[in-house]
Amino acid sequence: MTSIRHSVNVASNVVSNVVSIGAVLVVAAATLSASGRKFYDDDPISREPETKDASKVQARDITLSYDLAENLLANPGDRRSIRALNVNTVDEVPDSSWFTNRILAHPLSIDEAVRGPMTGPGPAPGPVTVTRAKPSGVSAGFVLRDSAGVTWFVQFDAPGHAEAASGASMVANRIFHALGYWQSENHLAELRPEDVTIGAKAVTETPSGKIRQLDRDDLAKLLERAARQPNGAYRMLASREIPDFRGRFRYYGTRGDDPNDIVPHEHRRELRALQVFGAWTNLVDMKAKNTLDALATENGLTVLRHYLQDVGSTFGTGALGPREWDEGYELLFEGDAAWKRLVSFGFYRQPWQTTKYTEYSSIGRFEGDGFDPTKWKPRVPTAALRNARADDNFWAARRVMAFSADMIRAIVKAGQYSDPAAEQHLADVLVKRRDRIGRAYLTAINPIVNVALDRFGTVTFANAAVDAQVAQAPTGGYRARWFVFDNATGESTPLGAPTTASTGRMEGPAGLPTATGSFVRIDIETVDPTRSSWSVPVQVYFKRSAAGWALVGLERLP
Amino acid sequence: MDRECLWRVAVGTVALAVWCSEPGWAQTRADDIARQQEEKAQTAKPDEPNRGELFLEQFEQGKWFLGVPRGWYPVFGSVSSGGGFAAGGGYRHHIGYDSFVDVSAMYSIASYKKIQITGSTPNHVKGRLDLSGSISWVDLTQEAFYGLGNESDPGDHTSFRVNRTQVQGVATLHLVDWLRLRLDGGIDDYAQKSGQGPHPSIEEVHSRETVPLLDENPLYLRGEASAAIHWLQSPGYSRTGGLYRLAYEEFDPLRGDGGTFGFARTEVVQHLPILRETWVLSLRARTESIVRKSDVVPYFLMPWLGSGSTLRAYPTARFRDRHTLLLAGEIRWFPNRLGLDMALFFDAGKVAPQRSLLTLDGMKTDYGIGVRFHTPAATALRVELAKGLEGWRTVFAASAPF
Repeated sequence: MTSIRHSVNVASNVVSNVVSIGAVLVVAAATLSASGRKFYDDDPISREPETKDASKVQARDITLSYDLAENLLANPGDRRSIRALNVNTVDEVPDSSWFTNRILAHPLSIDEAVRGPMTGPGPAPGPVTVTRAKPSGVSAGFVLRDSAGVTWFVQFDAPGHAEAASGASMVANRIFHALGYWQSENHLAELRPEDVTIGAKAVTETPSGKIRQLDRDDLAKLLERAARQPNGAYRMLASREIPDFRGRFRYYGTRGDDPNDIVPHEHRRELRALQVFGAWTNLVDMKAKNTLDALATENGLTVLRHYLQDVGSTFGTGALGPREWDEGYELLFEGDAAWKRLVSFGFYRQPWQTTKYTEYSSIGRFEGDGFDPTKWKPRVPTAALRNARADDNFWAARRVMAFSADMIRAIVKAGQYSDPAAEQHLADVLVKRRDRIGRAYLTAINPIVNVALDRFGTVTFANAAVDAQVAQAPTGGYRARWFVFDNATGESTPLGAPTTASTGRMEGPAGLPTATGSFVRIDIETVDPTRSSWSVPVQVYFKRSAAGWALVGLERLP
Repeated sequence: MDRECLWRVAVGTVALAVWCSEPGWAQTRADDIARQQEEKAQTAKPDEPNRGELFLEQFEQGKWFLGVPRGWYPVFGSVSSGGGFAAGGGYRHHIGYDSFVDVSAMYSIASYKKIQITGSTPNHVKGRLDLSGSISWVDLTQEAFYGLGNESDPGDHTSFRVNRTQVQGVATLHLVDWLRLRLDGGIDDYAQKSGQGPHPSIEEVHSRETVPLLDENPLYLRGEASAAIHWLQSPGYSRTGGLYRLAYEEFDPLRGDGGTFGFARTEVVQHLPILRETWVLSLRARTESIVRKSDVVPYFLMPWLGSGSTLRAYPTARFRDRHTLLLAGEIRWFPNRLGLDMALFFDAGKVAPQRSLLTLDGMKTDYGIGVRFHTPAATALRVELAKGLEGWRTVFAASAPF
């Protein structure tokens, strides 16, 4: 009996000890990972790891009306104003199945930008076979297979607006590819009705809802909705089929069946940045239906790749003609504006009523002189756009500003506009809007970039706003406070007195650590009484290695 | 160090070793992310649409009777202007690509009834020709009659009941997108009965001397030809464009005392957007005249004014005579271009026994304010408050006024 009681007591003590010690360890581990161990050995990562097989992800579509209503009225997603959760420790977006760093991150030639996502010359010449009707959208189109057996989704310009929708899709496709998004492979091609045969399995839905074989009358009806060229052919935008379609993504939350999708989409920087990229290109139609998820194989693993599949609703035109006057200025529904207009008998004035346009039928209503990127709005907001912060916009604006005027003009040529004046106009407006984006967003936050610390303790950096010629050099120069940083505890110990400089080069204080693995933190403030936001310091962290100091951290906003 | 202390250290060391070997203790950022993905993989499953999304998905697919009718479907609307809200059901059978046969029936809160069989086969001759035919029977139980003339007294409200059985064929030719020619013909069989409702029946107050063809049950061979130039965005909702229409309709009696007569109708509608559709000025002018033998036209076929789409502050058919003139203007503004319009409107109308009397003198007028909920192509609900010479009136309608 005694031995039994003793055993019970021992067991009780063991449990008690394990629980108490375990609790301490949990707290300790949490402290270490959360605030103590700020940087891992592999920081900053350049690629977002995707480690799990996603082949079981199922195709799902998103109901258009629900998506629009939810984003207009319900304000979905996590609305906390927090830093984007997919940025690495130096405030950059790692490559992933969402995004690939191209312009700004790497030298991007004009030829590369113009080539965009192209892998070949487009639909093979010769006969084509229509395999099915166009699954969605308002423009005329269908799915065809070329003589090489490649499947293409084709759509046509609306009558009276030749080159408009197709040209916009071509140009925007290159721009968004250069910006880093996954894009479909778009080509311009000519379709001659006599080259078209109708596949045995091509069907169409009758007004009564019956499915039946597509015939030449159907084809003729469809082509009546397309702009015809003087030579009798039709200019078509051909988008190469993206295989293994798995539906769409929303701009909030994660896909429940994709194990690699762990960052809520409203907290992905590249999706927040569409506020700036959208403003630049007037991409007003940012609905989930215009995205596409598809399986892809990377390093032998099946992952889900996320495309901005349809960026054609850009510049001044929609699928069927010029934009509505208020597009880009107002959401489809804004209670406040609606109420003001209602009670004022329409006399509530807004900029879209008086903005001046130089209209070309192939470009539509697109201008740069009155453009204010901070006021730009898509038709329907997304959770990611609503969460965009100044650091997200700054990140995006740097990429926009990286497009040279020559690159923009070369990309616009991809639209193959027959009117040189229209082509010139589109490029001019893009340049103007680019510069306005730079002025708006590069100046809205401390614009310190490209920070480096050499082995002798001299820190160098650039001012992105000054370099882009959208701001004057700060009148008070720069001031830096230096710290020795303990990566294990997260503690920063001041090091010497603050240093100052009038340019982007500053000598560090004496006593910088020299041991490999040591860290320093530098808070760099830009001093200009006219720009209070610049006084919020950019915090940069360097780690000492045998080769010198390596940048491991950058925080532009808390 | 006593035994208990040693025991605690040993347990702690083991626990620390176990903890550090767990995926939760990431050595690298990549490990940390991999751990989170591993955790999610344990519970990964496809997202399920909620009830709201499922409903809207079915809505988009044309379920809930909102798309093209297929099979059985409900019907809502009205049998005739002034007949009150009606509901019913129908059955549509589709034939070929876009032809159909349809049977429907409606019953209104004022006991109006309608039964109709329709056959439609559109898009012949490369989409230029639409053909349709129908057989219908309507029972209009309490149609209003206030006497003839522009100065009829609102207190002289009587009612009449008329049944119409109609066999009709229609051919519409779209020569070009903006020009529509329409031929409409058939046989109309009318039967008059005592009016229902709270007002005295017409025969209790009037005689054949004051009301043409009272108690007659005429049968007509009827034909109409019309031409319309139109470039409206949609017949159901427009902010730009216009409609210019001319029509002539003739009635040739197959039974009864009357002779042949006809109606000449003209209508002009023009929408003029102002400052990028901040406002739209919408104008309408419409005339309707009996031509040839005007004295053989039954009173119930005479042109009339007054309703939610003509003189909006006056009840349906408030003014009736051989000739009518209607002028209407609206200034519309758009709190939300997606679906909400407001309008200030003014209507003026006149009926007269002779066309020469259709002057601007003595017109009945009204004005008011309205709100419209609409889709890009149709007006779903129009609510208007109108003030006329006889007081206020509220209009509820599911169509544009013009």
